[in-house]
Amino acid sequence: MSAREQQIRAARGGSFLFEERSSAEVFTREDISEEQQMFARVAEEFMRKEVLARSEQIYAKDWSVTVDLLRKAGELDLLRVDIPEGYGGLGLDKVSSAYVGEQIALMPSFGGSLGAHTTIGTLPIVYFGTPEQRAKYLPRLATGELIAAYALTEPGSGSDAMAAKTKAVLSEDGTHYTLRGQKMWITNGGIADVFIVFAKVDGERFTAFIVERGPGVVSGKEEKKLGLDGNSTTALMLEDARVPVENVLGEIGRGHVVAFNILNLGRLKLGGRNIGGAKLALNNAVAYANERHQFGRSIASFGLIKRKLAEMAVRCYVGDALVWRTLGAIDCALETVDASDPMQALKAIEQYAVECSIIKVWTSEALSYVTDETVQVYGGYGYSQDYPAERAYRDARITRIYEGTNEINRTIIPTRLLKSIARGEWPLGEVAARAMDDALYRTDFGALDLRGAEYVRHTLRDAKSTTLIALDAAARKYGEGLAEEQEVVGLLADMMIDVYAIESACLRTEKLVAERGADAAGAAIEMTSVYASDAAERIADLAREFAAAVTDGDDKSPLWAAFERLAPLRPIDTVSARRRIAASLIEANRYLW
Amino acid sequence: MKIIVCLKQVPKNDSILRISETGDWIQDRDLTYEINESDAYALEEALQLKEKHGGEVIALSLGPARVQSVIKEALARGADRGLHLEDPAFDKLDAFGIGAVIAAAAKTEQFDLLLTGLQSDDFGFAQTGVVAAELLGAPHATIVMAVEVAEGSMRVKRELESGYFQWVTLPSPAVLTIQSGINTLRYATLKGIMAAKKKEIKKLDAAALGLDSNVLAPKQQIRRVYFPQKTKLTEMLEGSPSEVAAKLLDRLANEARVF
Ligand SMILES: Cc1cc2nc3c(=O)[nH]c(=O)nc-3n(C[C@H](O)[C@H](O)[C@H](O)COP(=O)(O)OP(=O)(O)OC[C@H]3O[C@@H](n4cnc5c(N)ncnc54)[C@H](O)[C@@H]3O)c2cc1C
Repeated sequence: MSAREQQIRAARGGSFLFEERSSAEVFTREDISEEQQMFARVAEEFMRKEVLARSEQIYAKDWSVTVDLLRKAGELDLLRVDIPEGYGGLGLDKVSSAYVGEQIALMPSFGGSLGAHTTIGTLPIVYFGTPEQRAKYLPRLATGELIAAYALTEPGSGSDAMAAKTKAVLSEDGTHYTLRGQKMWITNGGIADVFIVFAKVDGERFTAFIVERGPGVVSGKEEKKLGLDGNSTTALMLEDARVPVENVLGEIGRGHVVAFNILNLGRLKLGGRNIGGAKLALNNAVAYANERHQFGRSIASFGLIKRKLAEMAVRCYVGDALVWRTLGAIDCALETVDASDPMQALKAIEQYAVECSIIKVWTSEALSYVTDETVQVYGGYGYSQDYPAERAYRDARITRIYEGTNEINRTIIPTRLLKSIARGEWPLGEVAARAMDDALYRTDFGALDLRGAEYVRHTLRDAKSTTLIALDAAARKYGEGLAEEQEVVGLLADMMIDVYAIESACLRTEKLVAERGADAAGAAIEMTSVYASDAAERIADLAREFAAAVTDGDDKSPLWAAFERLAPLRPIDTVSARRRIAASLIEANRYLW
Repeated sequence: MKIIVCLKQVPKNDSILRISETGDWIQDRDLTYEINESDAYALEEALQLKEKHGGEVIALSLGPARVQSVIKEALARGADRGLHLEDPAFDKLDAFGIGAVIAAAAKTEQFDLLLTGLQSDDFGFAQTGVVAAELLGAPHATIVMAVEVAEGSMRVKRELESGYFQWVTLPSPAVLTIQSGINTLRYATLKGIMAAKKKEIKKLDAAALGLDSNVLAPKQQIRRVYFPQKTKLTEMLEGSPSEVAAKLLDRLANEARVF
């Protein structure tokens, strides 16, 4: 088997709990090609020279500037990355697309505009459009001549998107639908020319439509928001808007397929932008901490500041490991399907729904943590609008809410996996029983004298076993009723999230060590070990809370003994490790990974 | 018109600077690189001349394998092909040596115009283009702000001191060193980057250029590199308020040159 074939086989969605991976089988940020780096450089240069230079006008909500900049981005091909060749696009891989997207995080407000256009605005037509719809819209979306938006949410239906009230009624002559209703929180609402609107045909069959701005399509006033104050977010009123029947997108009554499939890619790309934003904040925090002096020394020399800087770096490093591993896996999966058939591509991506939700939750919470601690490092100046920490903090908050709230995504993580287990894709019962036996009869508690990669591997195995045992116990105890036990679902989700995170960091670091040697990977080894140690403690705590909830007070349940044996005996010395991580940040005056 | 543009890869100005173990340059493993600023303007000028007058733009860079990324960047922006001058013997050249290698490479092409930037952001010698011109026996103009091409000749605007300019006419082939900021740099496009993969980059080493070690022997050497010492000097100006003000004004104008 070639190395690529091996990667493709290993990339299967959901496999991370059931299989052991080697670093050669995964993609990491370090594998980004020279050409992909050149793509990203174009985006970065564009952001720095064109967009940041106009931030004042953008934050003053002069949307003509935003529109001009989107067109300029179109000239540089930044809007055509995900559009297929033949429709004015470049048809590039997801790694390229996300790497370009990461640069856009340099200004989250503008990034929100551009991302809504290229992802949730354009992709529904890429994946669900008829050849005529694709030919009509995609070339103009590729240049920015048309700007797109996605209108799913309504005043009465947010997380419960299917409860939408917007209604579509077919005209008597069968030529058009009349849409009536209201949409809320539409990114690009004030500037878009084309909206992907979800409405119920005859009030019943949930359906997607391509709606052009025109009579009966009315934007509300700009929302006054906590953050992202440089992009347009408005309600959208549909007041008997006439939409030709040719503009039904996908099948009538199958709008949910359009709505939910697009979100997987949205979540994944948001992950790249989130970690991009976190790295930006960390770089600001490090530079400020080095510069600011109190008590006659730089604040970066204080242990409590070092601890923050180091932990921020850990989140950036692990976040990138998660994001790029998953992007690489999806690109592998896309290689095996017929690229000209968008439905095959979507099916391939859908396999990764669990990973995409993990990334959405993990990276948005990492970004919140990092931007919050950045404010803290800046002290009073962090609270001032004259410094970058304040805006970054506000802009970060939305990422835990949109693209599916983190609560909704947490419920998706275990339930989606349990569904594929129920379909027989993974032998959970068998694997969990083995993990339980191994735990109860184990004699090797030897993680104590392990270091570096071996320590992380050992921790990862125990974390996986704990999680598998818990998943199996929950599935057996609650069966279909698990959905109503949301707190338990949340505990399972958090364990799965940490397992995927430890493993992704572990694989990234092993690959780094294999390619550059342990010396060059020094800080990476430390960051991975710190994360693994903390995550192991967290998972053990989650498991105890889980056991208390599911054993109904039965302290003889084997779950207790198993979890106890799988729990780490003690943490590594994370204080010293974080000091060393901080030292490398402070010396370089920035984050280097 | 056939235009050769010389592009130097230089450390980015936000690079971490550490002095190398040998003490005669900076540690290169910590560096990230980019195209020398004025060279980027030279490339843009070449691309605009080609758009106006037709012809070909050749991106030339001298240095180890990593400088290919500079050539690729130029190809992505629209240059037609690349020349990569690479040889272990080129590693420690001074400005004369670099000028000599470039001149030798330029001779292999029937060029009309050879462009360099005014000076490099790392060494700042401002000599390479001039040395190459002399060795080629071609006329040259430095600190060029504008280029107007006519049949067999060109008129160029040179920057002099204190806001004065000079127009000179040169026959082609000629060598021009281009000032930063004279045009608006274009971005590479993603399509341009994808197209660049299919463009040729020709490698030439010392043997291929017929250069022997005599030509390449450095005439100048960097002995030691060190960080400037930070010193603070406080000076009290004395006299009546109006005398002090006059002295201060004089210092600001003639020493600190802030006006
Ligand atoms: C700046 C911004 C831009 C946006 N852009 C767009 C856009 O372009 N297009 C678009 O269609 N929408 C957009 N949205 C809407 C966004 O997707 C929704 O706000 C989001 O889906 C949450 O819906 P909601 O606000 O109605 O909250 P609700 O669904 O009412 O949720 C409120 C709280 O209840 C929790 N909750 C709800 N249901 C459950 C459940 N089953 N289990 C557990 N907890 C639950 C939620 O997690 C949340 O904490 C945007 C929103 C904002 C603020």
